[in-house]
Amino acid sequence: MTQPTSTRLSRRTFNQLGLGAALVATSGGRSFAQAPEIVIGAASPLTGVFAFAGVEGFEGARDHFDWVNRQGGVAGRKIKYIAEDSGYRVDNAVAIFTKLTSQNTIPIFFGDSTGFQKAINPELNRRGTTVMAGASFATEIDDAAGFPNQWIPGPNYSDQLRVLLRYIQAQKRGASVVLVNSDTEFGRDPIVAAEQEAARLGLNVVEKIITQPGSVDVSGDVLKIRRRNPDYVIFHGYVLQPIPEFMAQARQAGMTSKFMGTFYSTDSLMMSRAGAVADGYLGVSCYNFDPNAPGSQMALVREFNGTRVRTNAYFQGWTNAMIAVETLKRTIAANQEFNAVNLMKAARSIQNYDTGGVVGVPVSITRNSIPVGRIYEFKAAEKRLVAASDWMTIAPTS
Amino acid sequence: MFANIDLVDLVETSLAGLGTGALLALTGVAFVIIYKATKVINLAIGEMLMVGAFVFYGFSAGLALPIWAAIPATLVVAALVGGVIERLMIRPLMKDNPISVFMVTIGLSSILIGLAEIIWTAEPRRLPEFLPSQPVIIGEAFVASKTAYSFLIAAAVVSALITVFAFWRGGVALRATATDRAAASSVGINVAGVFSFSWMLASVVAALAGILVGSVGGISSAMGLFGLSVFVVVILGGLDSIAGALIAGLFVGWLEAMVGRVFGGEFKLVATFSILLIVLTVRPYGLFGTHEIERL
Repeated sequence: MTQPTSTRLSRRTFNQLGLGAALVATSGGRSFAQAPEIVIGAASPLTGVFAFAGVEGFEGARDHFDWVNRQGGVAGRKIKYIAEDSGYRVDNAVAIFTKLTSQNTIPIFFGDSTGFQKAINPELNRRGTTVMAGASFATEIDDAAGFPNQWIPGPNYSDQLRVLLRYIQAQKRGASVVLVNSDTEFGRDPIVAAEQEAARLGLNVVEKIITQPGSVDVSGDVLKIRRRNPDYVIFHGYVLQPIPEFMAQARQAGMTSKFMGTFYSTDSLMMSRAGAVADGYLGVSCYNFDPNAPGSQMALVREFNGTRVRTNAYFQGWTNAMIAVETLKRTIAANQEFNAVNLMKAARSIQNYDTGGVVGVPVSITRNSIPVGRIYEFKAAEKRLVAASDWMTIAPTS
Repeated sequence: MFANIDLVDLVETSLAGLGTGALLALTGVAFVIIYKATKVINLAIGEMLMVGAFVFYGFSAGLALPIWAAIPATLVVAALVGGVIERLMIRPLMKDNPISVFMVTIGLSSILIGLAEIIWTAEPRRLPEFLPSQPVIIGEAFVASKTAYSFLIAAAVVSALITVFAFWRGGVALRATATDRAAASSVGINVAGVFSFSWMLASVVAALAGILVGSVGGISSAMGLFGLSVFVVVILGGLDSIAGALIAGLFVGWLEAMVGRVFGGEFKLVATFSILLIVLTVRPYGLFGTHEIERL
């Protein structure tokens, strides 16, 4: 009968096993030589009333980060993009922000709404570690003193109205205008600025209407517009409804007013759903909707999407990601650590920046925003938006 | 404030308000049918309306069925949905505390929103145009065509339901079940059948309301918010009164239109919920409801 082999470990065997275990444990993960990932967090409205834009915005940022990672990342560091669904609720977005920033070091976070970006601002300023961009174009956020750690990937809502009003003034001097705004956190945003700009341009704001967002009952408001019979009606704070119904009922009533809208309603997919009634609708955006537009980034958008038509929210996400990457690059190039002061200094150094065609002119971050816009007209027969004006830049003193 | 409102303006605004009020009344009736039969406060009525609108969208825009086929098909699906909800989610809880059932309907609303977003995504959509587009002119007053035709359809359906429940044996069975389940069962009324029928019928009425609401304001997964004003309607009219829902619906629609015209759209819900507060304080069983108060 053979004796059982001893199970005792000699010191040498133990050391060899320990070394082996350490090698195995580290070989499965990232190597010590590999630069750590840069984590970018997001609270995205992937469900809920704003999901149509949230999903597109998320995908726009994701596609751009994917491309950056394919190129080797930012200074050799890959981007890890973590987004969770906020449902377009401020409390959810705050919870996601707290959770993700407690689990990761996050230099840049994408917010989902004006409400969240305003609510989190004091915490952002207190931490001094994270900067933010997102879905909001709120005029209030476009204030480098009050919101020192945020940027907006386009013109603020007041500047969007200024672009629309300047277009009107170029078309018809002394034109009458009705403003229709949703009773939401961002719906009322540009009313005061619009009135001031209209007065400066010699336009007449003859009526201001506030509605519930997505209101069913538009007929009473259409009656108000009908009595004024304005040259232009400008909608702000809506996605799709109730704009088509306003236009349909206004046409029934024999009105000949032109209808206009701001960023979130300037969308070929949304307007295609409205159908023929939306023909001639004029909207403002800072992104390039020409499917054949030149530029390296526009070529990439086509590469990622083929013939699929993307909404403005996709371009917004893409632009946010582009600015985020450029901000990170400049911070690393300056050999500075990632903190809010350094990151925003880098973001604000983005001047006359070539977006590769996503915005048709070189862009500059002024205050916190990119005050550039262009008017597009919806052609119902072709189901697309075509440029109706040149790019317009709003001076910061406007 | 009032100086710039002339008689024609007053009439036009009132007619527009009554148009919306008819849709509130129709949805309110769907709510009342369920409460009348089962004593369940169904907070998911707005979402049932939303699902009905999306199903109609699926048939009319997705499958391109003609309207005469899409509407009945939608109502059949709605009836099935109502029946399934009752059988799987409500009936097992009927012997439990009313708060349990009440809470289940809150969960149901989230489930229906989730299902709609999974199937149709959260993007807002327009229903195909199926109502005449020529405006209706009454005297000098302009009424948008959808407002006018929605009012007529809703009024016809509510009137039919009032008549049916007043004279039809099923209506009597429904009222008997609501009054005393045990007694109703003892005289041969199929109480479980009444429960199922009430949910199916309410679902059909809500779907019809969804088609009409969606034809005016478009559809989205958030359109169940329309149900908020409906709760005011049924509390004002009385939780178990179909006629009350009709009258209260028209009143709330008219009130919102007038408040919107005079003070601005931002004050509509303020007015509506002020009415709710007053009613709950002064007459918690509503204008026409049974004088029975239960605290939830």
